[in-house]
Amino acid sequence: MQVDPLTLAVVSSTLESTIREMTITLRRVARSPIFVIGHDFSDCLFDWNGRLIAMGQDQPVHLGAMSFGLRQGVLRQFAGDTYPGDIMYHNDPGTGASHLPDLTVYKPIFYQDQLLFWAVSRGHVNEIGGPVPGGYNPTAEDIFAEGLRISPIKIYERGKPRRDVIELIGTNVRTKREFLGDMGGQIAAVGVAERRLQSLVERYGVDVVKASIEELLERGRRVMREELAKIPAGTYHGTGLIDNDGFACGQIEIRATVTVDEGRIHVSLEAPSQVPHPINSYEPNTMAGLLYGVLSPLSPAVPRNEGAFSLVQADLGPKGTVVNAVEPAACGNSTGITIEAVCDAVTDALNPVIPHRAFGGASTWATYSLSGIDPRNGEFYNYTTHLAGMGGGGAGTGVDGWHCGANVTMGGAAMTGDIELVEYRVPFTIWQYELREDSACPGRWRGGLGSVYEVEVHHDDAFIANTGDGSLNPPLCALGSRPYYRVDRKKHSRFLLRTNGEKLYMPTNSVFRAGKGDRIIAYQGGGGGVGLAVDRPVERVIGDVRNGMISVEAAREEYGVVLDPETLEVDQMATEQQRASLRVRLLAAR
Amino acid sequence: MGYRIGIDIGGTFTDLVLADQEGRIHLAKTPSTPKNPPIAMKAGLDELARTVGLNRTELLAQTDLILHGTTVGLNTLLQLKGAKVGLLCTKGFRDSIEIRLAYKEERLDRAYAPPPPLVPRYLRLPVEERVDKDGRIMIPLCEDDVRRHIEVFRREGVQAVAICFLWSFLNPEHERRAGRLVEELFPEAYVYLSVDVWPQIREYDRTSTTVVSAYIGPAIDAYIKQIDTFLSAQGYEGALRYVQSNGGIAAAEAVLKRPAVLLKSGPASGPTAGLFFAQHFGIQDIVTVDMGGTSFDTCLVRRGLPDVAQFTDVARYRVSVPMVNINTIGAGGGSIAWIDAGLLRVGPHSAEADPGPACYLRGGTEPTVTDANVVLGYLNPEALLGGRFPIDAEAARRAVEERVARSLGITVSHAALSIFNLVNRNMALAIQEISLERGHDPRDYSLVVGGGSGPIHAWRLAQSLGIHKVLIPKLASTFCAFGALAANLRHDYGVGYTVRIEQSDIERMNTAYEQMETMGRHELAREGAHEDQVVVQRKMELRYIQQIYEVPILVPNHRISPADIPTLIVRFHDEHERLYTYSDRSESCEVISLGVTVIGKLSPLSLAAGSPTQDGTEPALIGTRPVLFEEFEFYQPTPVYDGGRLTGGEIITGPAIIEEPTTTIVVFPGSVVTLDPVGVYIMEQAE
Repeated sequence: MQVDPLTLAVVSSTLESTIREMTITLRRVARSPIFVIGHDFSDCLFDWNGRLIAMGQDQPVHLGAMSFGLRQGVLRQFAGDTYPGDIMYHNDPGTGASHLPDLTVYKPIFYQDQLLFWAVSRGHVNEIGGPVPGGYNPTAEDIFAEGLRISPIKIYERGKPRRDVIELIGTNVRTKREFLGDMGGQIAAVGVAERRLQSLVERYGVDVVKASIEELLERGRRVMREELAKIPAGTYHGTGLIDNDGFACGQIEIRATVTVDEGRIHVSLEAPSQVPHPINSYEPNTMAGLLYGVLSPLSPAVPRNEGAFSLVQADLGPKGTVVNAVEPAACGNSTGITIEAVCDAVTDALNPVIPHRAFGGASTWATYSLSGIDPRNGEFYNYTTHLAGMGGGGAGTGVDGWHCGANVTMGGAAMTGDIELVEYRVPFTIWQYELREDSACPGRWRGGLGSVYEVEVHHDDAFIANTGDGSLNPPLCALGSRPYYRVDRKKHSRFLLRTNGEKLYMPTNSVFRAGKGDRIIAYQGGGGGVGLAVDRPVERVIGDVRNGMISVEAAREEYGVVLDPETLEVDQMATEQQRASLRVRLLAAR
Repeated sequence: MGYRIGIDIGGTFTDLVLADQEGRIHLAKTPSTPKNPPIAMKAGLDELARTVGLNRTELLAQTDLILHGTTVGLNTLLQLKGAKVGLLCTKGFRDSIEIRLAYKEERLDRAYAPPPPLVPRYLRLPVEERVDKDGRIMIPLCEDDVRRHIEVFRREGVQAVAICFLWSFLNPEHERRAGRLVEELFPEAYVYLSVDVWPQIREYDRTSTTVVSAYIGPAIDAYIKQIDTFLSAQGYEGALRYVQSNGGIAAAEAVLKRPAVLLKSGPASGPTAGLFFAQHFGIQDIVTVDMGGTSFDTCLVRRGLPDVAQFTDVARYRVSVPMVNINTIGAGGGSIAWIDAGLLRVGPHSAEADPGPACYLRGGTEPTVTDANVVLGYLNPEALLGGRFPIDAEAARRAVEERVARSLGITVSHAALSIFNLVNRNMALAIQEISLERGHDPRDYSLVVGGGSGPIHAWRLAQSLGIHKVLIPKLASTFCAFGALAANLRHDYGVGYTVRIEQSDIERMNTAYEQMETMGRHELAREGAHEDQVVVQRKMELRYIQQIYEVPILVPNHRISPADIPTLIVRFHDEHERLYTYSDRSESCEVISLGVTVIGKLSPLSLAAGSPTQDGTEPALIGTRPVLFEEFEFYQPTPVYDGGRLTGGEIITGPAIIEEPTTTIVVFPGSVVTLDPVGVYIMEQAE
């Protein structure tokens, strides 16, 4: 069936606006700060065959992974048992989800008893039960220690809420009210999608809408093929690293082999066997990182749909590895760390081949959650500072990295909380949230800066769960940028300052208790750069020095710009000499 | 009472609208002169004066009120040509405007760059001081820090100082003291305090809004002085008022402390204009649209109140003062149609005024919406603007054929119809964003249409949204200037108060409401509003405990008592459910802020005023031309009317075309239009 050009444009824009409306609804209704402020949620639409047809400006970490939850989870569990008014709910990586705090709501959308669409909304909640508050248990050795596993279930059946089931889930998390508020937001979001899509079908008819969607998927394939054809054919290799500070297993290396040929791309991964720590990644999460690594250098106009994605072939290697985990592997940190290493490995392979769209890696995700009883009202609270004090984002060819931009696979921007809103909400005082000098990797385009984030706890028995990575290895640097750290040569580091003056280093994966008046200081590293630092224009280097983003010493030692420390005037001669000799050294190091 | 003049200075045109003593309306439209705006203003005043048989000086001598909307603030920000600003902030938090909550607009584009901060880091200087979340002073203000930083600012040539300390909205003592020090030690600098700009919770929003104020403030101040000087040199002795982003007007003194309130001066008048016409017909719920050459602005007005947004990013900079919530997209007569890998698209790029649509023959080769409208016969194929502006229909046809029809393998007329329908679709989606997506069903609203291109597309927009009634004023093309003329004085105040509602201190709330109201009444009195013309609205922003965003509800205008609280809670649940299809009545809520809006009603324009005069001696039907409508397979000979010759009361059934001097109204098959004698076309479904 030939679809009229206008109808095609209308169907396409309706899918986009439906997603946008789901997003607005979710943000307005949901409660978890990580969910709403952090924008740690994603909305997608799938067709009658479970093919991805549209996705929002959301978290790449979710977007590449959500098809699996539908196909491996919901469609299998409820084959022949799906009715108008049903809503499914799911978080278990064993059946296609990412990690336990990512809860997904699925709504089948019918038109006259014919299943046409699935509206799917995934979001990261603040709490998911289990031994450690906050959804991340750094001590977990298997998935059972990470919280409540929910295989695909119905929370609404033919339009009626299953209150007993919802109550059972709520009972298992520490922040029930907030949790159910988030669920309500997701239910509202998929409900909005149902209204929009049904009216689209009403207007144009089932056949025309179906034919339009086939055409949009075909268009995705076509645009993707054209984009891939711009990458020189060949086989390329890259590496991503996980340092595992605090874990006994030590550094893990993930290797990617990327083959580009005739408008197709093939990625195979190699990684060690899965480990008894929460960094194992199940297939959906690994695929999300891989896909984002492939898409990064391509035009952002590539349609995010199954048509485009079908040209990416992946081989995750044997089952039972860190990138292809099987039950009962613990996986809590995989959506922040392992996924990033997978994406880095692909980016590292492609950077030299597509230098006009090369990227540095972000300073890896590392955070802590702080929980306890709020002395003001006696209620349990949990606060994940994932919302604050992120590390710097990676640079790209032509652009410096975003400060506090966070993970590449979080879209380079997991939003942080407003200082006053945070202080109003939780019992601590924030004393500092500022950029950290010399934290970024130098380059012609430098990484974004990391931050210093300092809080004072207002009560005894506060529980700190540290999670993350990136205190040992630098972020990925591209095209001659090289890592550089002045402060302790550590990318990230966190300290507990006791009221008695004691200062404790907290390894990246560890648990601590803090008392009233204790302070937690988190130093976050910056992002990876792109290009030789000696090619950064002198005036930009001076600007960075004047703004306290790099030191006079770093300007000289890394960028080869020799400045008078008082006046910031350039010593032209010395600068030329310094740049020439640094260039020789940097090129030799490449 | 003398003349009242509305002046809207936009990027391309300066529009003036005059209401005379009898309430008749006169228009003038002159090209803008961005380098020296009074030049265009002068030309416009000359033109206006001629229409009433006076010279400029005589006109101004008989005028007692000028209402002005200006884009000077917006352009200063868009072009990043603002003042050199220094920021004083609480120690530990100098980077919030650069970190900007790590908000990245285009998250899936890895090479998307952050915007440059309006104040570079070396001019964002930390001051030792701290107020806690209950408003208590934890660390006293270090005045030496302030003095030292002032020296830096002076040395660096700073022109404006912004001050924003944490929790200052609960206890402004430190901020005020620092402000006084700057005034004392650095009197030549402008100073802006966050508690004057918008005293509400959210440190990032408050800091950013204060910084934006400081960035555009000096330019606005200079502009206001320039206009004052110009008008007094012309002997003008009446009052001059400015349109604010909230759609109301205010005296210069009232906006100079918080210049961010002028950012949307200009487009903010659209809803006022729409409402003015709608209310004549007893209509309170409308959607206004304004479709010009490059962009399309739309706003929702519910129960007579334009929708107001609190958190807006303007040119990627956060501005948190109440602004009329105008949704702007790149859809206008100049929007370019193009093929994106097989998918037809229209806009957001525009051919603008230069080179303009292909049919203008100024070198444009890309097909625009205007070209499609010419191909379809909706626009006159020979000349626009009542014959004053010749065009080439063949060039329009060629552009549509070469750039669209061929690559899609369809006929030129099919391509033109697709472009027309697609731009309508884009505009309908923009309307959906502010209606359906916010819980308002557009079918309950009437459409009021402005902009030169708006009346061509209006009926199709209405049809696709299920809107039954469309109002098209004859002066659609000077919509905002007229809106300024019809506006009232308005001031918004807000104060942060964060507490669970059942624990709230009712006396404290009553006091806050009374203080804001007194402040507002005082300001209005200074601007010349009489006590009996003042309307007050009280608001409260509420949210579920731990929710992140709040929902505003109206609060009764009397002292509230504990007995009112349950009613307010119910009102909150209702509003939440309406907006988001979801509420949880087993739960309570928390207060985030209290707000007061005061409105000072100016003496109303009488709507006899709406219509330019016409004598009706010549027949209005001036011929037919072939026009293509989707309903028919082929071009149909379609009657064309000269709107200037209609006297009012005629009923014209579609298909038909009505040509007005500055716009064209397309009456589609199935619709019928009548001209109300006040100068408004009313378009409805034919019986």
